[in-house]
Amino acid sequence: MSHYDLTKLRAMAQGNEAFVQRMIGVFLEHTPEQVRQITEYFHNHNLPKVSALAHKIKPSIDLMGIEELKTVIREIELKAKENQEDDLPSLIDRLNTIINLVFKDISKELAA
Amino acid sequence: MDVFKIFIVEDDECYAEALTYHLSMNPDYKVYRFSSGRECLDNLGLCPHLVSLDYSLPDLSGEEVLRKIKVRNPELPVVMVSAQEQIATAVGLLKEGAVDYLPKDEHTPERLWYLARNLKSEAAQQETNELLPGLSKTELRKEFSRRVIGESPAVKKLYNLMEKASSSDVTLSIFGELGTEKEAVARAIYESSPRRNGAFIKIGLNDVPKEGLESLLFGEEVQQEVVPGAFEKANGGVVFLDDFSQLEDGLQAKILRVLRDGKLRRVEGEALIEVDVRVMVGTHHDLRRDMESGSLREDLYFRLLGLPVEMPTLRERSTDIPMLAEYYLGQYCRKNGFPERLLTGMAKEKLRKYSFPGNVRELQSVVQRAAVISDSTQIGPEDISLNESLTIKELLMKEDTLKGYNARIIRHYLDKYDCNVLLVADKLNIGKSTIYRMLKNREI
Repeated sequence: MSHYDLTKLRAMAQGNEAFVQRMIGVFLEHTPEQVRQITEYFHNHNLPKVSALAHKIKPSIDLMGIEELKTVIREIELKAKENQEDDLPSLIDRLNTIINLVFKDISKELAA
Repeated sequence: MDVFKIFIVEDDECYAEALTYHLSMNPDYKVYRFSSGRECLDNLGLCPHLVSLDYSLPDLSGEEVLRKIKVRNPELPVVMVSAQEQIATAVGLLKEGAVDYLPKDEHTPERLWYLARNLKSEAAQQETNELLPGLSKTELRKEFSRRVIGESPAVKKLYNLMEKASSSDVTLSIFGELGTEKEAVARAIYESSPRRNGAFIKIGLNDVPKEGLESLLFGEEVQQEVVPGAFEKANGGVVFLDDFSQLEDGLQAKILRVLRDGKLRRVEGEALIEVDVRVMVGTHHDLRRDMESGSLREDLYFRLLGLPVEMPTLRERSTDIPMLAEYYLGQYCRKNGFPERLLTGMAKEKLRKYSFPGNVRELQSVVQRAAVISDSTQIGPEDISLNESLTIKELLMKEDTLKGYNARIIRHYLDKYDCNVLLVADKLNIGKSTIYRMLKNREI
């Protein structure tokens, strides 16, 4: 089972596959770095930055149809905003795990 | 206008890319991308026609950027774009001068595209209008004074707001107690606006049975027959939704779509129809409270709010009462073939001191009744009977004879139904001659 679903992105692209590929490229280019930054900010106890970055990548996660992270990313944003640091490690682990799986899936599909 | 310049201020690369891609498909648009608020502000010298502004930026908040833009160029349309959870915050920015907000989802680029198209066409229209002789400020005031009579500071303030409303195409929400002439204001603004060549369609939402409202507003397709609704009939003009209050969810969604996308679907129809309509709403309800209680959608509330116009009550402009009373008296006498009647100074003073809970409508009714019962060309204070007991509770608080109660009830109904004797007789199930007799005998 794939960890992402491009239905929304394809709807946005209105049949233009080149645009879909470009958007996937932008996602691959920026999201790993953003997730890495979230993790780093968390380790540095900079929760406002964690919340802001989670907020920032939330629409891209929705657009890429990563259902497993839809709630996770919102919880990270909210918990970080409310300084509930104890709840964050498991959520950020989950974010890293799923994002890695998504990248593997996308890479596999691109290579096929 | 050669090129329509659009600023995309967005630090999310994905969305920036999507918005740029869609907008760039139109060769008339030139898209500039900025990833911070500061960059946007530094480049305002490029004179953009539209700014799409993300609410969360790395340096300045969207709110700060919006304010700074508005200081430098109050006319520049700014659209707020925000992640869905921030809608409540973002819609507050509409009050700060944003023309719209768009939640971030897969429809955002398309919505922005339509918005840009509409703004471009408005800008082009404005350029054309500027070449035509428009109404001067004096002419505008003259137009307004035909519909809304008065010289008080409250009315002058209202005229100022009406001027602004006439020169823009923003949705108008007219708030005010019953009888404060909300419809007159809506009509005056329509007549002085570029939409005056289109239709003005008023729908009293309380006058229409709930089950027929959707068809009336949006039209229907029954057995291959198309019946256009108010929004289609008013294409190019204005729809005035009077007595706006709680509507069922489905209708709220359909009105929202008209306001947001300029599109509607007829009842039983499948196609989406594009309409170009300015919406004005009149209400004596507290729509904010409806929104807070959840009976009115938040996004619809803020769309409807547009330019809010607060109608002054007649008590707030009591200096206008003598002038209004003379105007309505003259109008009523001419219409009914009565000899000219004038109000004495004391009669005017009596009117001026009364609180008029029913506002202008009540004043009209009081003056009409005075015209009917007066035998002289001079109407004195004794000819003016004021309705000072509007509620049953108030009616019963003051002890009276049965005859006295009857008189007060009939007087209350005459006020309520604009002195329409036949209607009041019907409502109270009494003979109309009874009412005429009581009027002649000054019992009411």
